[in-house]
Amino acid sequence: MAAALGGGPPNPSGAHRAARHAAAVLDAARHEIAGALGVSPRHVVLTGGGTESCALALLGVRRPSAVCVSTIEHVAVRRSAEVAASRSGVALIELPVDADGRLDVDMALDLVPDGALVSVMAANNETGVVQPVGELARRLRADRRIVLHSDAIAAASTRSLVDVATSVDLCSIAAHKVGGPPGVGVLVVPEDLDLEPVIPGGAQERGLRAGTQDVAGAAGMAAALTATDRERREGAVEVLARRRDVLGHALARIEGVTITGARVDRLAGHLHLTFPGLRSEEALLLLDRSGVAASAGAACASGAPQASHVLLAMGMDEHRARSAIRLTLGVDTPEAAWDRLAIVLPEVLGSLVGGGRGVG
Amino acid sequence: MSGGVDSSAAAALLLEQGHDVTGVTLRLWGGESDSGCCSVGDVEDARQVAQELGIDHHVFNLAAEFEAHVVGPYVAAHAAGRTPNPCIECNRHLKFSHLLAAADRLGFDRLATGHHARIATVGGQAVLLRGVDRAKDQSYVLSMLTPTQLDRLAFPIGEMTKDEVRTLALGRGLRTATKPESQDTCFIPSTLGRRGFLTGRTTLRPGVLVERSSGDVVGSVAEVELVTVGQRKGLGLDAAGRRRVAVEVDPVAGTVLVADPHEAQVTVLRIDPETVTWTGVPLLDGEATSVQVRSHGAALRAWIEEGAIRLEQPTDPVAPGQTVAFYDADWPEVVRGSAVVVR
Repeated sequence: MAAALGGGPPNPSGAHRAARHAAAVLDAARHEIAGALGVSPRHVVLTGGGTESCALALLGVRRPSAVCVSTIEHVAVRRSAEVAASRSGVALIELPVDADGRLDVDMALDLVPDGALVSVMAANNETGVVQPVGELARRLRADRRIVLHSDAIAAASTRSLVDVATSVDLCSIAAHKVGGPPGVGVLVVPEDLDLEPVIPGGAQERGLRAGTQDVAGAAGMAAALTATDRERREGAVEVLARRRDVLGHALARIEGVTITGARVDRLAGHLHLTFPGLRSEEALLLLDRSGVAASAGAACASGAPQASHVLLAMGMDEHRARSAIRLTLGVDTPEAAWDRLAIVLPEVLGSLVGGGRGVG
Repeated sequence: MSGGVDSSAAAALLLEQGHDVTGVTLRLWGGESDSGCCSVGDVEDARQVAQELGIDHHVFNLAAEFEAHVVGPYVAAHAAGRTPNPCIECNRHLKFSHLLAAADRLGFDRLATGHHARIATVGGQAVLLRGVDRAKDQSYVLSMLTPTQLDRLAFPIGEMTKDEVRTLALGRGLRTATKPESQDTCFIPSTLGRRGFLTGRTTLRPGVLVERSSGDVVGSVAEVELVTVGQRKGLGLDAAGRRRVAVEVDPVAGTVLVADPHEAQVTVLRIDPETVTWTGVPLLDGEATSVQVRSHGAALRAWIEEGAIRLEQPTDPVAPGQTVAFYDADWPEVVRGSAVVVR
C-alpha cells in the first residue's frame, strides 16, 4: 500500500505519467485479486467496501421476478434486498436454514421462482457455518433462469473463494475481512450481466462504480488476499481450526454451553457459543475486563446486544439467543492470546454459569 | 450511566476516590423515543464520557424487562384509570433489581448511580436521605429501596448541588457538562405525547363528567383514560365558577367523578399492602410520619392507621397508582419507605 501511495497523485484516470503509474498499480492489484478469486480481471469491480458490493449486487440487478435471500444474511444484504424488492414491486422471499444454521437447499428449490435474484452468503459471519452455495447454484440453474449473488465477506477470512466466485453470478468480498484495509471491496460481475450502477458518474469500473479508485486500497486488498492464500496453502488454517476445536471442547464441558454449528462445516476461526441463563453483555463485560475482545454477534444501534436474527432463524429461542458469545480467531492470533483464552474463557463462563461472583 | 451530567459526574467522583469503575448504560427502549434514558444519542454520550474518563463502558439490553415491568404496566394502569409512576417501577424492577443482581454476579462491590440522594450509615444500618440539592432531590423515586439494596448502592453526587455537579463536569471537560435535563417520561417521544403514545397501545374512550354530590352529568371528556385523579384542567367550572377536580376515574363505566375543590379534598389515602416497602425499620401503626405524594411535592404530616394513611390536614386527592414516600417525622431528610395508592 505504501508503495502504491508513493507514486504521486493516485488518480489512475489521468493522461500523465503519475496517472499511468497509478493505473498500472491498480491493474496489477486487479489481476492479483482476480487470481485469488479464480475469475477474469475484467470481472473484478472495485467498490468502497463489502456493504457497497452487496448493495450493487442486490440493487443493480434489473427487473428480477422476486428477491430471495436466506434468513441468516448480514444486514447489508437484508436491507438491500428489502429495498430491491420494494423498488421492483416484487416479493421478498426468505430461504430458511436448518437447526445447524445451514441453508435448506430443498426448501430453497421449492421457493425460488424463475427469473429471481437470489442471495445466499458463502459462510455466516456470526456462526461461521459454511453454506451450500455450490450445490444451490447447480440445482437452481438446472431448470430455471436466476441471478445468484453470494456474500463471501465472512468466508474470505479462511476459505478459498474460487469455488464460490466461479459458481455464482455475483460475489461480494471486503478487504478488511482478510487483513486488508477497511473501505475497499470487490463485487465480481460477469461481463454479460447488465447491472445498473448504484453510484452514477464516471466510467470507472466498467461504469458500474463511478468515482476515483482507491489505488492503495486495492493494492492492500490484493496483498492481503495473496497472504491469506499463502497461509492456507501452508496449512495455517488447519492449525487454526484444530486450536479453535480444542478451545471449543474445553468450553463445551461447562454445563449448559453449546457450540453453535459444531456438527457442520464451519470457518476455521469462528467459535460461537450459547449458554442459557446468562446474558451476553455480562459475559462480554467480564471477558473485556480480562482483556478478551469478544462480541455478542448482534447489536442494536446503541451497541446493546440483542437476540441475533441468525440464531432465531435457526430456531433458537430468544432466551438462548440472548446468551450468545462470538469469538473470531485468526491465523495471526498470537500464542500468548490462545493461552490467555484457554484460561480466561472457561473461568469467566464457568463463574457465570455457576451463578457465583466473577473475576472482578 | 444514562448519558446525563449527573451519572457522568458520579463516575468521575468515584474514579477520583480511587475506585475501579466500569460504566454501564441500560438500553431500555426499542421505540423511537428521543429523550431520557432510551435514545441512541444518550448511549453515545455515556460511551464518550466513559472514554473521556478512561473507564470501560458496556450497554446492557433490558428492553424486554422494561416492556414487561414498566411500559406494559403503564399502559394497563391508564386503561384501568390509574396513574402510575414509571420511574419508580423502573427503579424497583430494573435498576435496583436486575442491574444490581448483574453487578453482584459480575463481582462488583457496589452499584452507583447519579441520583440526587444520599446514603448514610447510622448504627451500622444504611439510611436513605434526601439529596442536598432540595430542588433536585430524587429520594421520592428511590423510596422503594430495601435495606439489602441500600447496602450495595452508592449515590456519589447526593452531597452536591446541581450547580456543583455541572461545575465538576465542566472542570473535567466532560461533554455532558451543559447537557439539558430530561424531564418527561423517557419512553414517550415528545412529538407523540402521552395521548399519542397511549393511542397506539390501547383504546382511549370518551366519557362523561358526573358531579359526585348530585350524580348529574355535567360535561364530557374525549378520553377517560387520560384524566388523572386530582386534575383540574379541562374539566370545566361548577355552578359557583370554581374549577372542578377529578376525584374518581372509571374507564370501564366511562365516567369521571368530579367535585368542587373543597369537597374533593381527602384526609385518608388507601394503600395496597402488597406494595409497602421499608428502607429500614418499618413505621408502626399510629407512628408520626410525613408523606410526599409526588416527586417534589410538599411533605404532609400523617400516620398509618389500619393499613391506610391518615393525613393531619386535608389535601387534594391522589391518583390511584401514585407512590407515597414516607419520611421520618423527626428527621425529615430520612426516607422510611413507600406504598402505592389504591382507589
